[in-house]
Amino acid sequence: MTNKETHNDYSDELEEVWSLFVEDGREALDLVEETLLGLESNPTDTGQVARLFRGLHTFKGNARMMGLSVIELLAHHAEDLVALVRDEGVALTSAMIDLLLEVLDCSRVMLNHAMTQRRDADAAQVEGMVARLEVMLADNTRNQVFSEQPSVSDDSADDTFVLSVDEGVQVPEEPVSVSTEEFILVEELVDPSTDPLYVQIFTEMANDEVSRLHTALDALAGGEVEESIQEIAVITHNLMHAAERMGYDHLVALLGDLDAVVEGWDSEAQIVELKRLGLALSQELADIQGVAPSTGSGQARSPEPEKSVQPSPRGPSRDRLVEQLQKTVSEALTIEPLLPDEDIVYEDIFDAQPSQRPLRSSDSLSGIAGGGAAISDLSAVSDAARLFKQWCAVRACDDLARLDKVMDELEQFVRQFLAGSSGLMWDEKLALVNEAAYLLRAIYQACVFYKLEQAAHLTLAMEDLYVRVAQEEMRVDEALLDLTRAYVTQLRHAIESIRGGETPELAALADLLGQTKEMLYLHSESHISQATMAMLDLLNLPPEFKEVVTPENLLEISRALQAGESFYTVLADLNYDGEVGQSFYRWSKSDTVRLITNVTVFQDKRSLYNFLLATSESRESILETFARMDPQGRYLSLEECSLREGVNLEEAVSDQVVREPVHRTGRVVEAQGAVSMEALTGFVEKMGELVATRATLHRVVERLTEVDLIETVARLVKQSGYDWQRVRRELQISLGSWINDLSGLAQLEAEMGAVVDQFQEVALALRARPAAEILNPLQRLIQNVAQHQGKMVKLDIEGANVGLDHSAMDILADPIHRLAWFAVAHGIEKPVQRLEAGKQATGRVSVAVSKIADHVQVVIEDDGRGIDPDATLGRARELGWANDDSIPADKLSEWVLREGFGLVGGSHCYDVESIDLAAINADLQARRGRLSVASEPGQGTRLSLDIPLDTVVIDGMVMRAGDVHYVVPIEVVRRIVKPEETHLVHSSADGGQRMLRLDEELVPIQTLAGNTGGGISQESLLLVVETGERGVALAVDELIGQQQVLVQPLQGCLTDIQSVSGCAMLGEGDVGMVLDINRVTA
Amino acid sequence: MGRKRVMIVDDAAMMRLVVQNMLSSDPNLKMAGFASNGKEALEKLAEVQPDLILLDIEMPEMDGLEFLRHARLKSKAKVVVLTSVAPKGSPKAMQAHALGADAVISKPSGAVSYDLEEKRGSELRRTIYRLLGIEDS
Repeated sequence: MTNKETHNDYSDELEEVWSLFVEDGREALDLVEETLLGLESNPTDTGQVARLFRGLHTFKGNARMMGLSVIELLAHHAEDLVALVRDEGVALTSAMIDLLLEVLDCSRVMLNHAMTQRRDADAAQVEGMVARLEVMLADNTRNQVFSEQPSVSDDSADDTFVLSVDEGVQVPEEPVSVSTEEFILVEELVDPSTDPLYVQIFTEMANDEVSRLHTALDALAGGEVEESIQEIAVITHNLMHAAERMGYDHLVALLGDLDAVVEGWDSEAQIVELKRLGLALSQELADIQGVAPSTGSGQARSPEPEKSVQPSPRGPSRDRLVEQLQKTVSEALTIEPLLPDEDIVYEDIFDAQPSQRPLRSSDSLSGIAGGGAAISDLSAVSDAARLFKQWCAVRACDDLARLDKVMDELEQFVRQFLAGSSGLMWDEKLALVNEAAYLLRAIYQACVFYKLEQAAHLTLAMEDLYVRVAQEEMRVDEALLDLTRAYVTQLRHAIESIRGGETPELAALADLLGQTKEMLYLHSESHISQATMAMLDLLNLPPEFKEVVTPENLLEISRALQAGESFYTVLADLNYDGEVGQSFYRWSKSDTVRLITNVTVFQDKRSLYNFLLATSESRESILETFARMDPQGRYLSLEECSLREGVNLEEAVSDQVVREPVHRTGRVVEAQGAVSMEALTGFVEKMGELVATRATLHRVVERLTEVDLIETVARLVKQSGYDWQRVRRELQISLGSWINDLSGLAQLEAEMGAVVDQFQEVALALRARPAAEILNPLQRLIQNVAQHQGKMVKLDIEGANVGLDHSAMDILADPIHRLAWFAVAHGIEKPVQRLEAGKQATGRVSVAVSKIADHVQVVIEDDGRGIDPDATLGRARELGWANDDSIPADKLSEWVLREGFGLVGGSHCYDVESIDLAAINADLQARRGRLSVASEPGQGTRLSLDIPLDTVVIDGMVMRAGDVHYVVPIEVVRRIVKPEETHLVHSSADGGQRMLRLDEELVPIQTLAGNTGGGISQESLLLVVETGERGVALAVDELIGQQQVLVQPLQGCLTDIQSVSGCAMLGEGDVGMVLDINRVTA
Repeated sequence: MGRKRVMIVDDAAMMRLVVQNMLSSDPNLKMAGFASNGKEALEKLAEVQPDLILLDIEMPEMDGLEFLRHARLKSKAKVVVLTSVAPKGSPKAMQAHALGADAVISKPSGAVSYDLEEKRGSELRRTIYRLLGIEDS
C-alpha cells in the first residue's frame, strides 16, 4: 500500500469523522447551553452540573481527538471549573455562569470555523478567556479546604499519560508519562468488598445466579440431568469469577466444592449433596450481606459477626439487615415469603440455642432446622424464608424480653418529665424508640410463623406507633408504655402456650389491637390539629405549649373546665434539688391536681419544665404547698391562667370573638359581655366528644365494610342446599348483627350531627367582629364635617355590638362612611336655618346596624332638609326619564338610585355635599345587597343599606316547587294556607295578578320557578311570608318542614339569580335556594 | 488463535468512530460491539462476549466507573479506561485505576490528523496487545 493510497482511504474516513465531530460538537454545546440556562435559576442542581460537565467533556475530548488544541484548551479550562463545582463543592456563582456562557459562544464560533476551514482556531482568540478561567480556577481552588491530590507533580500536567496496573507503559515519543508507581501512591487499589457499589452489584448478581441455581437443582431432581448439570457448571463459574474478584475466599471454596461435584457427576445420589451446597451458598451469601443468622462463618469480611447472638443495642442497622435478609432469601428461593408451611413441627426448633449453633454457616442450617440433628431430610427445610421466620420465632421471647427492658428505659424519660420535650436527650430516646420498632418487626415475623394472625396485626400497629414517635408525630407517654407492656405479656403467654402444645388465648390480644388502633387514630394528625390551635389561642396558653398539647390534653382541659377548676402553669427547676423534684412529682400526681402536660423551656443554661395543670385548690393553698416543698422559693414558680374569670380571656380573644352570642334566628338581641365561659367549655368538650365519636364511627364503619353480606348469605344458602329455611337462624344472626351495626351508625351520625351543629355556631361566632369597628370612627368623621361646615350634629349609634362576618364588614365600611358623611354634609342644615324651620339647632343623625334573618341592615337617618325634589325632577327630565311635572313620591327614590343619575345634592364631584347614590347602590347590588332611599323635603332622609350575610345559620322553612327546593327564614312565614277557590281572586288593577284573600287583606300570589303547570290549583299550598308592611303568598307543591340550614353565598354566574340570597345544603345532597324575601315581596 | 473481540463504550459517536477506525485494520482485533453508555454496555455484555473493553468514564445513564465494576464481576474481559482528562484534573481516572481497570490511558489526541494517526494508534494498540497477550510482530 502506497502512502498515497493510504491517504485517500484515510481522507474518506476523515470526512466522516469531521462530520461526526461537528454533529457531536453541536449537540454537546447545546447541552452546555441548556444546562447553563437551567443553572442560572437553580445553581445548586447537581444533576444539571453533571450534565454540563459531560457536555464540556465530550466537546473537549472530541476537539482533542481532532487535534484542535486551541478549542480543546478553552473547553478544558471550562471543564476544570465545572469539575470544581461538581466534585469539590465549590458554589456555582453567576460570574461563573456568565463566563461559561462566553466560553459557549466562543466555542460555537470556533466550531463553525473549524467546520469550514478544517483547522484549529487562532490561539489569540481564546487567550483572554483562558486567563480569566485560570484566575477563577485559582481563586476557587485556594478557597478550598481540601488538599489537592498530592503526588502528581506539576511537571506531569501534560495530559498525555499511560497507566496500567501491572506496569507503566512508557511512551517514548510523549513528553511525559506518569509511571504506575507514582500513581499507586496516589490511590491505593480498592478492596472491592469494602466498596458499597461493588458489594451491591455482586449481591444482585449473586442473588440472580443463586436463584437460577435452585431452579436448576429442581430441574435436576426432576430428571433433566444433562442440561441442569451444564447450567449449574456455568452458574458456578460465573459466581466463582465474581467471588474471586471480590475476594470472598470462603465463597470461592464453597463454589469449588460445588464445581467438584458437578465435574465429577456420576449419580443422582449426589443431588442431596448439591442441594446442601446450594443452601450453604445461600447462607454464605446471607453472611456476606451481613445478616447471617449464625455466627463466625469464617468469613473474615462478614460485617457484623456478633449480630445474631444478642440483639444489637441500636436499631436501624439490624433493621436494614433484617429487611435485606428477607429480600435476599425470598428472592433467592422464590418461595412465598409470608405463609408458614402447614407441616412445620414447632417443637423441633426450640432446642437450638444460639450457643449451640455451629460455627460454619453452612452447618448452622442444621442447627436451626433440626436442633443439632444431622441433616437427613433437606427438602423439609428447603424454605429459607421460613428459616428466617423460624429464626425470628426462636428469638421471639428474647426479643420480647428486650422490648420490656426498652420500655423500662423509656419510662425513665417519662418519669423525668422529659418525654416529648424538645432537644434534651432526644437522641437517646430516639435510639430506644427505634429499637422498639425493629424488635417489633422481628416479632412480627415470629407471629407470622406461629400463625398468630391477630398478634401479627397488633405487632404491625404497635410498630406504627413507635415509628410515629420516631417521626415526632406523637409522644411516648405512660399509656403507650402500658400498652406495650401488656402486649409483651400477652404475646409471651400466647407463644408459650403454642410451645407447650396448647391453644393460645387470643381475646386479650384482640382487645389490645383495638386499643392500639384507637391510639393510632388519636394521633392521626390532620383531623384535629387545627381545632387544637384555635383552642390554644382561646385559652391564651404560653406559646411553647402549642408544641406538645395532644387531643388527650384537650379532653383533660375540657374536664377541668367542666369541674370548675382553675388553670395554672408552674415553672419548675427540677434538676437542681432532687428533694424538690420528688415532692413536686408526688404533688402533681395527687388527687387534687390534674396534670395536663408539660414542656421544657430553656433559660440561660438551665432547662426548666413548664407544667400546665388544673386544680380546685386555691392559689393560696398551692402557694402554701410550694412553700413547704421549696422554702426558699427558688425552684417553683406559680402562674395562674386567668381562664376562670374570663377577664384576660376577653382581651386575648377580643379581635376574633364577637361580644354577643349569635342567635340563630330573628333579630339579634344586643348582648353584653364577653364570650361566655360556657361557650368555651362547650367548645372544648364538644371537640373531645367529636374525636371520640369519630373513632367509634371509624370502628363501626370498618366492621361494616369488612363483612360482605351478600357473600355471607350466598354461602349460607349454598351450604343449606339452597333451602334458606334451613339456615334461617344463621341468616337472622348475620343480618341482625349487620342491622345492629347500621343502627349504631345511625345513632353515631345523629350524635355527631348535634355536636357539629354546636360547633358551627361557635365557629361562626368566632369569625365575626363587632360592628363597632366600623361605627366608632363615624363620631370623629361626623364632628369633623360638622365643624368644617359650621353645623351642630349629634350622632346616635345603635348595634355596635352586632357581630358581622368579615366579608360583610368589608362591603359595608365604605358606604356607611360615605352615607353618614352625606347625611351631615347635605342633610343637616346650619343651626340658624334649623331654628328658622322650627327645628332644634342641633341636627340628629342616627346609624343603626341590625341583623334580620340572613341579612345585615344599616339604616342612616337624619332630620335635615331631605333630597330636593325639584332638582331631582330636573335631572330626570334631562335624562329623558320624566315627562310631566308631577313627581310620584316613589319615583324620586327610584331615580336617584338609577344608574346614570349622577350626583345628588350638588353638581360637582368635589362638592362635599354631593354623593352618587346610584353608584353606591350599584356596588352593593354587585354584592347582592341594595340601597334604598326615602326622603321627605324639610323632614329628613332615610338611607337603608341591606346586604346578605356571607355565611349564616338560619332556621328555615323548606319547601318544594316542582323539582326545586326553596328555603325561607322561618320568622318571615306568617301563615300556611290551603286555599279554597273563594279565596283566590284576580286583581283587575294589577294586570290580572292572582291574589289571595286573607281575612280583610289581599295578598299577591307569587309562583316559583319549578311550579308544576305554572298555576295555582286547590292542591297548591300557599305560604304567606312578609317583611315590614309587605306580604306575598308563595305557591308551593310541598312543604318539607322546618330545618336549620347553613346558608352560603351564591358563586359565579349564580350570583345573577334574582330573589335568591344563597343556597343551603339540605342533606341527602339536595340544595335549597334561599329566597331573598325583601326582593320577593318588593 | 482467533481475533480478539473488542467492545467500545463511549457516549461520543465520534470517539467510537475514531477508535474503530484506528483499530479495525488490525488483523488481531475484531470490533465486536459498541455501546453509548454503561447501561447499554451491560445489556450487550453477554451477547458481545468481549475480550477487551475500551471504556469512557463520563457517560449518561450509567457512567464508566459503575460499569467497570459490573464488567469486572460479570466478564473476564480486560478493561481499558480511556480518559481525556489528565490524572491531576481527574479523580475519576484515578478511581478507575483503583477500582481495578486493567489500564487507564489517555484518549488519543490529534488522532485524526494523518501524520499523528500512526503514533497514537500504536500507543493504544500496544497497550491492548500487552493486556491481551498478543505478540507484537
